[in-house]
Amino acid sequence: MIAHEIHKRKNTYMKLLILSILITSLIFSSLSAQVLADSGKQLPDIIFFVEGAGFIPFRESYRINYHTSLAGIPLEFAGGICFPVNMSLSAMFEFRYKRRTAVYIPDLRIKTLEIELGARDYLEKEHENDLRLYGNAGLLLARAATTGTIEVTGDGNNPKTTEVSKDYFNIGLAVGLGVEYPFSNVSAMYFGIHLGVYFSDPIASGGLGNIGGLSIGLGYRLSVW
Amino acid sequence: MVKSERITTLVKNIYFSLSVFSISMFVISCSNSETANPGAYKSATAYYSIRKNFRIESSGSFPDSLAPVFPNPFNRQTGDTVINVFFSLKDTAEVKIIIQNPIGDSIAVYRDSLLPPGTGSGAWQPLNAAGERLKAGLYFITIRIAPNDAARNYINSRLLQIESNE
Repeated sequence: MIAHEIHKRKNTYMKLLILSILITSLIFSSLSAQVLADSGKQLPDIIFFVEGAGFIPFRESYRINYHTSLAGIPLEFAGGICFPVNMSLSAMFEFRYKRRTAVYIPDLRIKTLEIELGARDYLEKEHENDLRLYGNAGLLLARAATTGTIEVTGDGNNPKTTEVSKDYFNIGLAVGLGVEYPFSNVSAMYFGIHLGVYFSDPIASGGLGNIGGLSIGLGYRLSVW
Repeated sequence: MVKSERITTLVKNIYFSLSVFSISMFVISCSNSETANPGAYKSATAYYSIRKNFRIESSGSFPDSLAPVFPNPFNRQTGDTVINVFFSLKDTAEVKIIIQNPIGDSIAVYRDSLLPPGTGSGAWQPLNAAGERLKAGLYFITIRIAPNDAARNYINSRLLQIESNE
């Protein structure tokens, strides 16, 4: 009965998903034609960016059992490079690193390194000394190294403690939205929201499940010609 | 339409489709998370209170306790088939022993019953709620005694390592 309900709900979601993809594609295919390339400017060869962000996991258990702590600071660190395709669009390579420690048992931590391969795009035209909206999307690849202390024992007697580690790999999708404020042609500051969802390492088969979440961060961009 | 604009349009379409897809995936994963894990350990306060309720010593000849599980690490290649769990109760109480992944999600429920005082033990085959073998990784075996008795409410976790899949 429960399985039937889950199946039914999944079907409904899948239909909604397909419908929303179709509608959104149609809407934005027409909108995207309105964005004009800013001609007359030379494209940067490469854009570097770094970011510090707060992280809020989607999963309740990951949210309440762990807290982010990078050198004692509750932030994740991100950075990467963009290769501009035109004045609006860039190919993007980004990494995110976070270290989360368990609050429910001592000496347990998960260090996650995420790599995002995707595209970053300005959603509006550039205006001098004004905020500019951008969005990004990409494929996420993550390695979550879990480290803890086990009691090594073969018969339950005289256990010795030792540190053990296990790597969990996951694949997901990410989208982001933010605003950028240019200081000059070369540098800019941005505030962005990044949303990551993982789906290839299910809990039922011994994985960590969806370790994604919402990151809200402040970053700095530097263009190089 | 020039080529670059067409590429831009295409990429924008892909971008927004991926956006909608990701959000939908998120909604799906959130809505199914509880039903997909029937043994989910839902009490948020329990996670927070483990440290302050970490009471290894208690009065009586049989204190509430969970002994180190063995063999730990568990390795199927060396012939390990079951994990032995020993615990003791100082008084009659509801006992729940669950297996959690490192995040804290319940993978399986080993015992959930009212038990008399004394020692208890058992052998647990590392299988998930669906009866499938647990993959190599780190897991917690957590005992919770008298969850509804604030004065007692003992909880303890032992970290278990499964070294191989075969």
